[in-house]
Amino acid sequence: MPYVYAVTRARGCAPSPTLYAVRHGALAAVVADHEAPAPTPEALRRHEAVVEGLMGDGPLLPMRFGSVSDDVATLLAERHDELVAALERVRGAVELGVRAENNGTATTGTEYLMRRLAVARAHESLAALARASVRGAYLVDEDAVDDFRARVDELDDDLVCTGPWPPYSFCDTP
Amino acid sequence: MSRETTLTDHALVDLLDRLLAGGVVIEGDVTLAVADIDLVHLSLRAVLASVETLECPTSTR
Repeated sequence: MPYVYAVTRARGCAPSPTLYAVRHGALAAVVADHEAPAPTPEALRRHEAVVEGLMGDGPLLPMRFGSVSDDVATLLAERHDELVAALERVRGAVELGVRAENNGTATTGTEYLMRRLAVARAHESLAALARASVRGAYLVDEDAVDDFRARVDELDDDLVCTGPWPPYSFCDTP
Repeated sequence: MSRETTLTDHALVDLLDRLLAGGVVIEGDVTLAVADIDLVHLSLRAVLASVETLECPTSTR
């Protein structure tokens, strides 16, 4: 069953030898003929590499890892307008993540909470530079990425800015 | 656009956060959202397996 990597605009979708496009209306799904891989770290990185390789071709909505469908065209048809709207919301922007450095290695509860607090304190200042934000993820204009990184650095030495990511956290459709 | 991080720089925790919890979700009967379910399934199996391993030697009492 075809494995789906991303939804893009039909125009500008230029798949590679291993990827092909299923089109419907203004949309294209970028798919490959392989099964959903087991969720190993290597498979996650391979998946991410494919999606990041598509990032220069125009706005895209990444699929959740492990998405397969034998009828991608119907998916595009049923959710055409909401997916088109979602693509326009992320056009020209990337996702940046903000978290405490060495996240997850806190050895005490206090340390963990201090890290959470650092992220929370930075939020208002960072959100002002972003189009949208959700749970430590910020949707940032491509030409504002450097400013955003600089702001993270100046706010707190212990914060790390990850990405640019495909807009995984901004794919919600109503 | 600057790309200061490369793929291999992505921490696994950041990949998991996004690839398994974000992205467009296919709904309906064409869906096989295997990944996150598999992870839970695998970890449950691992726990069950170790409990079994622990209990088997004493099960003959």
